Amino acid sequence: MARYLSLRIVLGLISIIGVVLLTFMLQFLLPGDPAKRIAGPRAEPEVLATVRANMHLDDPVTTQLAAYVGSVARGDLGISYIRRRPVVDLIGERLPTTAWLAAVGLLVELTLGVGLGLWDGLRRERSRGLAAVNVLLLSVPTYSLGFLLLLVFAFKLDWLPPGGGTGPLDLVLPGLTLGLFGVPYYAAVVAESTRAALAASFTRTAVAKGLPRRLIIRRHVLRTCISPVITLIGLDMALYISGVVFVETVFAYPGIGSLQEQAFTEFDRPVLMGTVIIGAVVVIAFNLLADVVRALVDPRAQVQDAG
Amino acid sequence: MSAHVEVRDVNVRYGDFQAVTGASFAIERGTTLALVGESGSGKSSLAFAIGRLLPPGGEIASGTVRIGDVEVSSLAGEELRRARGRVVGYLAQDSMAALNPVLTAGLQIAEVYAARDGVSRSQAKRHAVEMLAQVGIQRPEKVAGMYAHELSGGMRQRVMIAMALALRPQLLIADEPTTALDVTVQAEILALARELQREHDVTFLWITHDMGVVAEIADAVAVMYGGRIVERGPAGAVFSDPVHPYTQALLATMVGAQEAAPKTPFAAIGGSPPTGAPPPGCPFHPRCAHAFAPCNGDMPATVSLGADHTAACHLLGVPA
Amino acid sequence: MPATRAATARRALREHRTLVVGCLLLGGMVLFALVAPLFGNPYATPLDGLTESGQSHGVLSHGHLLGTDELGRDMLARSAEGARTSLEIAFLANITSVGLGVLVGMAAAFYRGWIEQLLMRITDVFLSIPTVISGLALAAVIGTTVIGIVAVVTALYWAWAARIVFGEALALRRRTFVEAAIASGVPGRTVIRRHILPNLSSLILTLAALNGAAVVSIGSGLSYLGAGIQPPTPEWGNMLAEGAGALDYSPHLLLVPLACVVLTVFSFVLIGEALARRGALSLRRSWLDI
Repeated sequence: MARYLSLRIVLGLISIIGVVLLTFMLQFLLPGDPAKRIAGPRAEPEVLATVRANMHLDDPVTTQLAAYVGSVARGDLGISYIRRRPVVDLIGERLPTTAWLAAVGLLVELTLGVGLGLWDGLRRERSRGLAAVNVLLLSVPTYSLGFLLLLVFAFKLDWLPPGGGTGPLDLVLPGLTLGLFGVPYYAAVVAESTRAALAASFTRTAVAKGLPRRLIIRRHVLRTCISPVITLIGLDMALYISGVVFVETVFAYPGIGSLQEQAFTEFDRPVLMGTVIIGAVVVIAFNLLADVVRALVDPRAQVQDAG
Repeated sequence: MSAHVEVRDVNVRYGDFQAVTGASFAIERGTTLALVGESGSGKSSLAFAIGRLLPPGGEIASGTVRIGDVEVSSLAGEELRRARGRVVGYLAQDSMAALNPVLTAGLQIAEVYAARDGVSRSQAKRHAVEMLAQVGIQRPEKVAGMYAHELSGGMRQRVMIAMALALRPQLLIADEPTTALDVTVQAEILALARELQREHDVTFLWITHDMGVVAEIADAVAVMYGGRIVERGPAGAVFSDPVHPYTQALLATMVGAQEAAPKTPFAAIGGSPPTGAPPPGCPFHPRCAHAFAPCNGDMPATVSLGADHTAACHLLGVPA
Repeated sequence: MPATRAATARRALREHRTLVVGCLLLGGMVLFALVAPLFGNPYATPLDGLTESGQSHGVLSHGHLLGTDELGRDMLARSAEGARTSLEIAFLANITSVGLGVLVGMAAAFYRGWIEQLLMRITDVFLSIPTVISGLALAAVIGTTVIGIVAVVTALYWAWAARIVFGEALALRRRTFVEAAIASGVPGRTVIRRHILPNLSSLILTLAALNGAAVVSIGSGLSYLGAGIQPPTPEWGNMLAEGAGALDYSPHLLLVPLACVVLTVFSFVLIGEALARRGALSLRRSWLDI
């Protein structure tokens, strides 16, 4: 287990370093002079020169890179051009808001996805109805789904708030939008592993032992589905976070996603890069977590992956 | 007194494909019948039909199977489920695949008890550990908490035996349980099986293609080819005096059997067993060195050679 | 004889209904883009473009089948013109991302060793970058032209294709006929061209269809967030952004471009599903049925 974990952590760290390098290169390529953003467009050349020196913008690229990597490693993501506050604080303030949304979405995704997948997997033939639902959900991008739900439930029916707040009711539509989009993936994975388990030799053994059908499904079939679902949560995280950005923008939900969207429109480079790095860290952390949980619930995983 | 297990005229079909034709035999209580043949001979289909474990799509088209006083071929629904494990137990070939990878060995034995008779969880667990000790596992408490991939092949097969015998079935169907094991472990498992058979007075139906295993464990032998039993009889009689050319060929493949078996014109069997529909006449005739005129015409009748020894071959001539 | 041929065609049509519907729909969207000039000038703000109270026309209003937007521009003309941009981005980005993914995945699977390690680590880095977040950052760098958006979408999506192709190509490479070819000294390039590519072609097609769906939604999505083609050039994504503000009083401003996006994604998903199903195994048995 220790060996397995350390291997995973090293791979995760390599990915994070890669992302930090990428964001550094992106900053270099970004149009516009950061010093001008700080000092203002009408600043005197002398002031500009001082700002440039303070920001180490005239240092060689390697020195700048070392400084950048160093500050990111210390948890310093720079200061927002617009809000004049540390990026880490800005993101930290909004983290709980986004975490709630993400949790509700994941709950919707897992309940519906696993439920539908099991229902389909236990049927003798694939359900055409479910296949149609899957195709439909796959065809409606997150933001489109959000607009449709907003139109129907907030504007036409007036049942739910149109967004902007952070109360429990404000979470319903965004959470549903975020969750529904992932349902087909989970349903497909669960249905597939259910079918694989039903056809597996160990199910024949369980039947031959005379176990009741319900027990076989609950114990022998369902347990083998846990591991692929956890793997999918990890794999899906990068896409899921994209969904968060869209959903937060559509519903004007004040989380990290809308912070980033604002940072983009305002050309607030440190905030933009900060959210990229944080997003990547979250994705990598979730992949790591998924691997660990999988190793705990599935005794085979450690052997397969580390072996 | 009638035999403990009686199989009468069983036909097994998968849709249009007839896998077993007219199989009949009996097994005495506490003895072992080895069902021998190459893959595709129908031996597994016949054994699974007897154990009511045919894969979906397969069915006993006609014939009866009786184990003790239970006619298993006519069981269905809840009755069938209750018979599983109690009337007939099953020992799978690939123990790695046959054990659930995410459940401990102990739980997989204990659940057999727990699902029955309102046995409590802790009682079931205790029974499971006892059963593990019975199949010769050292430190059974520790092994009960282990998963399939943590056990050696021999240990896994012992766990499988503990599971299969947990409810003291009357008949145990063993589907080549030792093929994946190395020779010494195989010998241990076979010895254990014999010992448990004596202790529990359980009848064995042992599927194998390995004549060495047959020599080790079988009291009686039934040789299958092309979905039919072509020769059957007491192990001693079949080994010392094989009548059917196919049996002779099988014995010739046995390591070190070259001297014991009568000299046959072919040491190994050429060609391969039929896959689709069997050829007309005797199914073995395309590969048989002794094939002559009637072989591709009619299916030879089963001829009694005395003392429970029968065979179906045109070389035996027309029965009187 | 013609009767049997017609019957065969009918049966084929029934078997591949999903594929046919998907292709027809996608073809329809392409046609819609091609005939855009027929629907008039998407930038014109005619006098009758707004109602007397200055409101936009709803759908099916006189002379404006899909209504007008808040400046009085014809929504049909704008959607069709938008289709040109959106579909151009989608097709280009799909080709480049799948193409790059296939190249990297096959190179990693074929050359193994340090090349595999390097390529797959890079792939992992790209896979762990949240798509939209980095899309915004990338768009800020590369800019919001068609080529820029294509580059952004490619950067975001090639890694998925690379992962999948790598897995399949690796499995293929271990197959006997490929190992035999390599062992007998057939040059690498020939092995890839003759043995690996043909066997991957069906996977690549499926990948391209499903990736097409993703690329259409992300392309329009980025534009919706402001990181795509900028107004006044019509594009489905920026039309969505314009319509989003008017959702409660003129929903057609949003629903028209939304329908365009959904129909296009739907067509790709249908094609992808049909192709994926063709390669899928038939139903497996269930031991619970015995």
